[in-house]
Amino acid sequence: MKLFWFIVFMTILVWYFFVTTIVAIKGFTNIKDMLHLLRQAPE
Amino acid sequence: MATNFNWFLDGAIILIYLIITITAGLMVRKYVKGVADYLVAGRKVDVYLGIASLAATEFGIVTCMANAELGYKYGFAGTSPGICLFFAMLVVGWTGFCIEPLRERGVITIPEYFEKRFGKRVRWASGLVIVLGGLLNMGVFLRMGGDFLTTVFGLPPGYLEIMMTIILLIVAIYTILGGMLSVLVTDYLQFIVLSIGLLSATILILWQFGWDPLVSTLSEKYGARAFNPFHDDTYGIDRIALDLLTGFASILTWQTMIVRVLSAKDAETGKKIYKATSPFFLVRFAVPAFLGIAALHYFSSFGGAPSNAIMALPTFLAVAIPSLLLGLLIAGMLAADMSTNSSYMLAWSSVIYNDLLEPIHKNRWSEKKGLVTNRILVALIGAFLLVYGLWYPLKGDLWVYLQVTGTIYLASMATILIAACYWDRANNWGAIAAIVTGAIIPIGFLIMQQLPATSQIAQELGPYKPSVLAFLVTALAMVGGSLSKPARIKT
Repeated sequence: MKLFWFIVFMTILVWYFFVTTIVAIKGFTNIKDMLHLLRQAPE
Repeated sequence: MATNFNWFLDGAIILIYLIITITAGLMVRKYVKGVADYLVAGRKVDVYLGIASLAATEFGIVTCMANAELGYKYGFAGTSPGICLFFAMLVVGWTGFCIEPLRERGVITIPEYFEKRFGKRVRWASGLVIVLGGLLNMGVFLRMGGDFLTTVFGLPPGYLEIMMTIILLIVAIYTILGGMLSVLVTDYLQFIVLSIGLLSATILILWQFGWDPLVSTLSEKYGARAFNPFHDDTYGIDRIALDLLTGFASILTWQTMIVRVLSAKDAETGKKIYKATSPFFLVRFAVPAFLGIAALHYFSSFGGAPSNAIMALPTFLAVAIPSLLLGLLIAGMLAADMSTNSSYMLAWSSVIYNDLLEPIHKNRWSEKKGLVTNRILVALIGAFLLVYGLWYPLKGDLWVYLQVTGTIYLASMATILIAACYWDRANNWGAIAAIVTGAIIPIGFLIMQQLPATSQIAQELGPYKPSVLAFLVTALAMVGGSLSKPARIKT
């Protein structure tokens, strides 16, 4: 059980690191696109 | 109070973070042209921003303290709600169950969708229980945030009110002005700061204490039940049943979660946001639970455990994390708290405006009047949080309080939503019966907890069975109520 929780916890940490990196890069592009679309939207 | 917090070094990190966040939040307010921009960001949200926003919103100081308390008291078994939420979000995101028809209707809130199936009264009643359950649930957020910060800063308890007011004012400024747009942009920043702080602190603790000593402490204290929620029934099958029910119900109907689907640019994007965010719910429970376990190990070895388990996390972090990293971690926790408070304030104000005030404004108010009303509502919710946070004495586990108050609307809204999407025979009689039943049981339990004459019965009964019962009885009320109304004869 101890080894099981170790593997689970480490997998979660690695996934978290991976996703944070991707979201940090691509999320910024999403914000730019969203603001661009809102700027072009009619009043 | 003992702390490694350095006002010069750590204070500077927090100040820089706050300046960047508030500036970003205020800068986007110029893009808000109408109520739809204010409440659902003009429905222009793409996948990665949606993930950052949903993850940041659902991870606040309150969640972190509650989940650390579960780790501190139950070990790894305390991560059960996270496993249930992960599973529920993955299934819903994969299948599009309920969220697909909901997004395709282009509504702002769930009660708005109910009106299309069950009429205006059901919409209004749904709005009422959503606001009631949501505000009671959020009522403890500020106090917990204040408790956390005063402890890690090493301030006397008398500073609690000042800390609560400061948190509220900072969040209120950009939420009132920028609405969902400000919330999304600040959520993005907060997700990054929170993740850096949390990952750094977790790795440092792992390096400092090691995995084996932590799990050995768990084994000594709690035995096998710390690793298996089903062992000896200590965590309890009724509790796991409630975790699963509230998990599915909140994924489907919790306004702060579902609004990400409703703000998405289309139903497919909404499904992708849910699928990709689902593992974050494991992070949301596993990492704080790990910190709670580390706190248990630390206090077992060196003493100094707080009398209240909910304070284990801040007390531990204040002495175990060195300066500079502590500043980064507090900035991360502050980020988590700000994103949660801003999203929650906006979510409940959107339901009040969209569903409770709808009979008054009938969607005929000008965009300007609608915006002003929404901003006033956000400010009023902020004031309520301050008063309620100071007044309400929390009894029992924090996570249980969050589940019980959530059940006030989760049980009925999830039942009605499923029926509205997939059961042709469902009608307004069933919906009203479900709303009343779903609210009475959890509210009754909260009142029983507070009254001296009934508090003993409430304690013996425990919070899980009444909450599970609320889900079951609500489903029966929906079916019974709908079937008892004579079906219309098609001509």
